[in-house]
Amino acid sequence: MRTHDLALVDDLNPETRRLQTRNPFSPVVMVLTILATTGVVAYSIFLLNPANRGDWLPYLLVMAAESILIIHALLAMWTIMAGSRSPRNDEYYLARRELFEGAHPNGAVQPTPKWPLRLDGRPVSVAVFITCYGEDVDVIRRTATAARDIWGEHTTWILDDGRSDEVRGLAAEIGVQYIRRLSSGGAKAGNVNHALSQVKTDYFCIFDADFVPRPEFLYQTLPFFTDTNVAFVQTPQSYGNLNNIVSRGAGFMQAVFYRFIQPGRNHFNAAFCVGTNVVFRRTAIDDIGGIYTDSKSEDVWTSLMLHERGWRSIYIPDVLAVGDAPETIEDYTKQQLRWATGGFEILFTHNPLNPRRPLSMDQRLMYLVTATHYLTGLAPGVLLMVPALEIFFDLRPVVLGTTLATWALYYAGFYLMQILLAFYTLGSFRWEVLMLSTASFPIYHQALTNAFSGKEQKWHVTGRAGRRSSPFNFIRPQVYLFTFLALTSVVAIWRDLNNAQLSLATAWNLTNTFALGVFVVVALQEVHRNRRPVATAGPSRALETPVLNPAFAGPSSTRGGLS
Amino acid sequence: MTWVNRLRLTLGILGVVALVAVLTLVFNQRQNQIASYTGAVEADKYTVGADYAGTVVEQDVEQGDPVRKGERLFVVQSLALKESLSNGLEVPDTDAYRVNAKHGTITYFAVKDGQVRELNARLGNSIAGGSLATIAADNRFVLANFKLVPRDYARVHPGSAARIRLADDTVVTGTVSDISATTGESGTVTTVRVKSDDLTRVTAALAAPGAPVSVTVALQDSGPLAGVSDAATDLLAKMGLK
Repeated sequence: MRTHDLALVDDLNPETRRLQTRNPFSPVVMVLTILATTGVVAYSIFLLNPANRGDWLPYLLVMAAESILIIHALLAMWTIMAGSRSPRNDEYYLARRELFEGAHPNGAVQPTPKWPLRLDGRPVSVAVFITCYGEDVDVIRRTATAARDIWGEHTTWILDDGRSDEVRGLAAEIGVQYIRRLSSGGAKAGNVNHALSQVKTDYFCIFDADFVPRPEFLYQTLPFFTDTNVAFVQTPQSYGNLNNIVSRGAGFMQAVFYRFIQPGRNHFNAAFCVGTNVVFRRTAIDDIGGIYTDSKSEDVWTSLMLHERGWRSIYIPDVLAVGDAPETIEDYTKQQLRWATGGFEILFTHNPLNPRRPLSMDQRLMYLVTATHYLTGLAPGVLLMVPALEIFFDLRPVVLGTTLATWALYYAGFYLMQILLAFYTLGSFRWEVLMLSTASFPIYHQALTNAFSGKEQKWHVTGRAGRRSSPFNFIRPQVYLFTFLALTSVVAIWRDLNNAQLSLATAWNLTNTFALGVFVVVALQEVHRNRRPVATAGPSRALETPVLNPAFAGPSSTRGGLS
Repeated sequence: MTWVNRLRLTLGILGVVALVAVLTLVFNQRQNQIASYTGAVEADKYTVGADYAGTVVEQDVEQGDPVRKGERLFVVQSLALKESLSNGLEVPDTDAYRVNAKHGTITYFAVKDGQVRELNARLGNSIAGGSLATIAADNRFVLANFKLVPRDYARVHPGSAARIRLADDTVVTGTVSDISATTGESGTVTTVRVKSDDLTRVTAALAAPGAPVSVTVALQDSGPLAGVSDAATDLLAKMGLK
C-alpha cells in the first residue's frame, strides 16, 4: 500500500472523507448548470424584446454590460461542462508508479527528497525555483524549507530580486541554493530566465515566495511529462489566509476559476500557467526563448507562446501548494491591475482570433475569453450608473409598464441561478466576492487604459519602507463613486417620498451604496490597523491552517499570475 | 497617504458633490414640471341650429368658408313658423337669427368670427330642424392630458405657466385656464386647458383644431430647493443660456 498517495483521509474522520469522495461534476451540478443556462437565455430574450425597451441611453448601457456578462457566463458554463474528465490517463499512472523505481532502500515506503526521480526509465533532474522580491524572510523560510523537502531528488534555488543578505544567510542556513542577479529587468520572468541560464535541469518548478509546496508536488505532477508534448503542469493556488474581508473576497473570487474553469480548459488544451505552483519542461521553455518578458503577466503570455508552438498544457485541480491571498486593498488592487492588464494586452496586441496565430479553434475561443474576461469586471461600473440616470433624468432601461414581478422573475432567472450554482458548487456563497467585484471596476478601467496606451502604472505613494501606505492612495475613484452614490441615494429617497412610491432605482442605488460603503469601511479599518504599530501577523498561517476545504484562489500578493 | 493624494481626494470629492448638486437642480426642475402624454389644439365650436322645420331657400356659405360675426348664413322658409306667427306667437330677433313674419322665413347669422366646419343644410333642402352647420371659432386653446400623482395634481393651478410644443417643435407659451380630472380604466387622467394668444399667430396648419401638441406645465415649487432653482435659472438667463 502506498501511504504517500495524497492520503488526506484521516482514519475515520468524516469531514476529510466527504471531501475526498466529493464529485465536483455531480449530476446535480450538471442540472444546475443547465438551469442556469436556461435562466441566462430567458433573461437575454427579455432584454432583447423590443416591447420591453425603455429609453435608449440606459437601455444601451444595460445591454452592453449584460451582454458581456451573459456571454461570459455562457462560455464559462460551457467550459465547466467540458471539464468533467480527469487529465490523468493510464500512461500517467504507469509513469507515476515507476517514478521512484528502484528507490526503496530497506523497503521504505515514505519517499524522501533524496529519492532519485525516473521518468520512462531514465533519471530526470529537477530544479525548484522560489522567486523573491522583498518578502518577509520568515515567509521565504517557510516556502524554501517546504520546497527543499519535496519528495524526489531535486535542487532548490532562491531567486532573490530583493537582494537581501538576510535571505542569502537563510539559504545557507537551510541548505538551499541562492541566486542574485545584478539587474532586475523583466521582473519575475527576467528573474527566472536568469536562473535558467545558470541551472540546467530537465524540469523546473516555480513557486512564489509565499506559496508553500506540499511534499508530493513532484510525485503528482511529474508523471504527466511522460507525454513528450506536455510543456507544463499547473496546480491551483490555495489560500491559507482567508482571515479578512479582502483576502476572502479575493480568494473566493478565483474559486470557480481554479475548481472548474481551468479543468475545463484542459480539454481545449488552453489551461494556462498562473505563475506559481507550476512545473515546466525545460526544452519547451527553450523552444519559445525563455519565459515571456514583455508583460507583467508573463505566465499567461508564456502559456500562449507554448500553445502557439503546439505544446500541451495540463492543469490538475489538486491543492499541492498553499499561499497567501492579498490581504490589503493595495495588494488586491495591484494584483487585479496586473492580471487585467495582461488580459487586455492579449486583446490589443495579440488577438487570438487572428488567423495568423497558429492556434486551434478551441484555443482561440479560450484565449479570447481570457483576453476579454476583465471586461466583466467593468460591467458593474456601467450598471452602477443606471439607477442614477433614472433618479436624476427619469431615463429607464425598461419600459415603465413592465411590472416589477416580471422583471424580478427574469433577473432572478439569471443572477440568482448563478449565485445558486456558485453556492452549490463551492459549498458557500461569499458576499465579500460580490462586494469586491462591485468596487473593483476602476481597477479594470485603469488596466484597459494602460493596456491600450501601453503605459505602465505609476502609483503616487510613499515608499515601501516603514509604515504601509494608506489604501486611499489606490481607491480614490471608489471614494468618489461612494460619495456620488450616497448623495444620489438621498435624492432618490427624497424623490420617492415626493412621489409616494418606492422605486426600483432607489432600491438598487441603496444596495450599490451599501456595497461601496463596505469597501470604504474596509479601507478605513486598514488605515486604523496601519496606525497601530502591531507586529505583522505570524508567517506560519498557511501551514497552521488545515486545508480541509481549500479555497482555490488567485496568485499571491507577490508577483503572481493571471486568472 | 501623501499630501498630494490627500489634496486630490478632497478636490475629487468636492467635484462629485458639485456634480450631484447640479444634477439635483436638473432633477428638481423636472420635478417641478409635468409633461402631457397627449394634447391637441382645440377651438370653441358652435352649432347653427334650426328650431322650425322648413326649406332652405338661401345658402350664403360653403364648407370651409371663413365667416365674420353677423354674416348671413342661411334663410329658411317655414310653414310651421308662419302658422305659429299667425296664431299670435311672437318670436324676438337675436344675434343668431331674425324672423320675417310676412314671408315666414328665418335668417341665420354667424354669432362669432370663425370657419364653417360642417355644413348640414344646402339650398333647397327640406329640413326637420336641428343643426344647419357647425362653425369653429377663431380662438385657439390646447387640451392636454396628464397622468398625475395626487401631489402634483394639487400643484397645478389656473394661471400656471405652460409651454406648448407644436408639431414642428416651435414652442409657444400659454397659461393654464382650467383643470379637470376623470378616473377611468387607465387611472386618473387630468385634462388641462391651456390658453395662448400666440396660437393664432403660428402657421394655420400647425394650430388647426386637432393638431397634436405636447404641453409642459410648470408646477408651483414649494420644495426646499425653490430658491436655489430660481437663482440658478436667473443666472442662466442672465448668461443668455436660457
